[in-house]
Amino acid sequence: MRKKLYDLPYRPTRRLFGLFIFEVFSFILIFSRLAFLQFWEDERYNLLSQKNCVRFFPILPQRGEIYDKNGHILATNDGSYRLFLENPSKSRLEKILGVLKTELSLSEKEIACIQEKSLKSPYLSLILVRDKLSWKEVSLLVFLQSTWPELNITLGYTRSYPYEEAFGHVVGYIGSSNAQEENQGVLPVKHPDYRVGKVGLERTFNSTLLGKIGFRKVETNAVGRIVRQLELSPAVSGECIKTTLDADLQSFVYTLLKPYKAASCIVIEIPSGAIRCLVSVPSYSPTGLSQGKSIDWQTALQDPCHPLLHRAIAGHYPPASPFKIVTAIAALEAGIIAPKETISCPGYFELGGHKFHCWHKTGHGSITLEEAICKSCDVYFFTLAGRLGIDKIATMAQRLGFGKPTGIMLYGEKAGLVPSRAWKLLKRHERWSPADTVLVSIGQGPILATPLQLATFIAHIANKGVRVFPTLEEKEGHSAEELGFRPETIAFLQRALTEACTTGTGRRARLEPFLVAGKTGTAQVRSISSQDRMLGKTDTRDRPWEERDHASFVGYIPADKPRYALVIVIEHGGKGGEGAAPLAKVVFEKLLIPHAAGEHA
Amino acid sequence: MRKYRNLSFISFLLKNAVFLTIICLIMLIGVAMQYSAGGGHWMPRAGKHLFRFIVCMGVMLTIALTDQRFWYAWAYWLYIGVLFLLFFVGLWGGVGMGARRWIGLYIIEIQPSEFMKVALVLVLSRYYCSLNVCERQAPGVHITPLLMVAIPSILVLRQPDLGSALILVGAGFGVIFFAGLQLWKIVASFLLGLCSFPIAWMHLHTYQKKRILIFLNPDQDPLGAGYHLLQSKIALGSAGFWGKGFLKGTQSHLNFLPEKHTDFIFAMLCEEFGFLGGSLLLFLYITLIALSYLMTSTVRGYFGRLMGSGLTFLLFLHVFVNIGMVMGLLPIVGVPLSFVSYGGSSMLSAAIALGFVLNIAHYSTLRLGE
Repeated sequence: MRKKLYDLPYRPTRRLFGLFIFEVFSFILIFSRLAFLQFWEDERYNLLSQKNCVRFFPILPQRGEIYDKNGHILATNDGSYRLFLENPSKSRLEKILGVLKTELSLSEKEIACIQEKSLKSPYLSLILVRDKLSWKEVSLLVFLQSTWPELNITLGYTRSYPYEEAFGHVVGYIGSSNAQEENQGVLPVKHPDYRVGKVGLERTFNSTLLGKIGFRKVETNAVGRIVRQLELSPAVSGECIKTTLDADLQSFVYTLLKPYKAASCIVIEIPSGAIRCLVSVPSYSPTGLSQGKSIDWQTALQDPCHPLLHRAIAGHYPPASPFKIVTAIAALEAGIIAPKETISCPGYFELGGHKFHCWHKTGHGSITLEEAICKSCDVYFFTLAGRLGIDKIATMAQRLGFGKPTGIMLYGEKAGLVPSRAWKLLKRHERWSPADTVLVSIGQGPILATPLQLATFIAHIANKGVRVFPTLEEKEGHSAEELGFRPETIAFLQRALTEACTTGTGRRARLEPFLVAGKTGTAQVRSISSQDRMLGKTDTRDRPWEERDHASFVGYIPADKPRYALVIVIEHGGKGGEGAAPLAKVVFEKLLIPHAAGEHA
Repeated sequence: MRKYRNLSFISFLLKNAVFLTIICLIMLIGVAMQYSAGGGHWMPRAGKHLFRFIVCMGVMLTIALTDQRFWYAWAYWLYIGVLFLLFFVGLWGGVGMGARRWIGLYIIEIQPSEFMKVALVLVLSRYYCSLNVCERQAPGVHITPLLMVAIPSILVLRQPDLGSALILVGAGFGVIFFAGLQLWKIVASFLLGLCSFPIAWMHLHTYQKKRILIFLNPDQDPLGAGYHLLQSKIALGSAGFWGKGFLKGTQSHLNFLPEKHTDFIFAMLCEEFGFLGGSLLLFLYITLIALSYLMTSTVRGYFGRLMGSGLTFLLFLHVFVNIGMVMGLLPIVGVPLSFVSYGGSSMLSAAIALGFVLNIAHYSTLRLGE
């Protein structure tokens, strides 16, 4: 046996004890860390844990529908079944696409598109495979779902407009919200399928149509698959809107004006101010624009006639001859002329050495105001302008609604322009000249008006000088705000306008057995040079389309008991009496003799 | 040979009743967590975990009751055997999770690095025991043990398994420290290790480098490399005092918490049972470690004393590194939590270690290496 060298005591060595102490400290460290995480930082981590597994899925409300006055649908939502792929793993995606290729006959292009989408955003939860599935496809896919849980079939809605182009501008279209709309908080929740009304009624009544968004609170696992539903708050559909428009009339007028490159037409009911038709040509497909179809957008943006411009409310035209009524009212109200007083028209008006020509080469001779309106004599009003001065004409124009928006509440309405001394000094840095007054008196020169302003103006006259408020909203009652003209003035004008449509320039708008009152307009786009005048080229029909005159007709029917005010503007349509008045007759016919109108359409 | 076994099997069990009960309790927590991690099913892991534990208890008791002199005699051969397995696994082992760690034996797969931890403590104790006092004071005496630590550590590091390699180095140094290596030398070698860190850094795998960087700044890549730690901290932090309830942990059951049945099982336990559950398990481990130290400190034999201290330190290292990394106190290096984490080799290795602790307590009067 070896010699005993070492004898250990029955107690721990110093090193063992030291290490034990070290371990005790280690465990104290662990305990304090545990307590720190669970008691001090628990709120933060609780939140993170919630964020990990609880998700909100918005449920989009259905957008409200828009109806015309008879309950025809102008804007609605088409439900369709859509197929999505939900979180497909890479290996399964290939197999699923293989199955779908045979079952849904997906094209190579579609497959490539889906693969690109899944590659581009691997965390994207849903990839759209196909929209508008047929019933046969849906039943087949439901069957396939048992083997491929990634297939997700949902019911989605797309906005559609049954009358398409006819109501393009007035109803408008919808689209994803842009940065500005987001800042204004137009939408309560950001979602790719939550759309904003961009123009027209869709924009005006956006908040009413939107409805209330709902949500689904779900628990998801680490790969994003839904485990269970925690809470459900259903969406509230948007309210529907009934408008004053008449779908029948509007489509009729749209087909009537469609052959013209650019035109607009407004029909206002008197005295309610209800707009029955608001057509602007050329139009666009609101369904296509709402769905963001690039082909529709391209045609809308590239057409040289600018289909996106709502001509009825945002088209700026010289009002031309209809503005003579304003000059006439100003003169009558100011008392500078008596209805029976005659003025001689030699065919031109000389001012400061410059000759202003009447449209009638040889002149109208000695005529009264009534005849001047009836025959649309320019020289008569040039003379009145000389006596009145611009201030009185401008004030009267503003009183009749020119130079400011009518308040129809449609996005993009233009104010028009009533020139004045101050305006010219400010904008053109020139003093007002009497020549300007002469031009403005017949609605030419710097003055600009929208068709809607013209319609409102003629409705005021038709309504015996009581203001008419144009509106698209069906509502009870209307205000009775007098414009404050002398009854004789109104009576005289009504008589003169009726005469104009019986024997005068507007006779082509006459519709038996009714009396029509109205005024034609021929707005010069390019002034007639003296050289052309010598050559006798006063008719613009031989010119290129862009340089022809704008034709317009402003009037109401029946003249003795006005029910409808109407404005038609045909861009570059030639003379008002020839280009616009016959169309007005067709519209009047449709309005008052509904069954007979068909043959003209 | 004198007879040192002066107790019957029954009285052995009675004497060590507290110790064995604590092991059983820890294991039961492990089974419960495996049951929960399996989504409330005995399959695929909880049942197997329980079965393995019964086998491991058998192995533990067998080791405890085998004559210590047998282990003393066979210590070198055991070490060489496991070292051979490590070589073997490095060359032909099965690959899992990007590392070559397993040897497939038809029914079971074994991970030699786990057994090396115990074998290393055993062989180091045997080595120091075979020296006499004069030899112990010789200047080059620690070179052989250092080689004994270094060879398996490098092999394990190359698998790559940073966690096991660190545990091997830690446990090895623990034994050498108990054997009387001067503290300043340990400090010096630690500093040397720190200096050689840049060299080691170059040999680390990208994912290991990333883990260390993430440990230093866990929020820099919350969806990538920092994901493990962040999700683990969320699981711990969102639990509160009582926890979310058994089978109700959202982090673990919705699969946000990765590796929830192995390395991150403590986070899952804390999520479901809160501070209370976490403290209970910690308390059980502390009691187990304290009892081991108590048993070791009353052993008379040098071999037993060294081995007991080393194995207890090994157990401590496992618990501390695992829980520390789950909480973000230490970098994530992949160390299992003994008896609770799923894995046969790690459980068997822990059982063998505690079997040896029981063995030295049982043979406390035996003086080997005198």
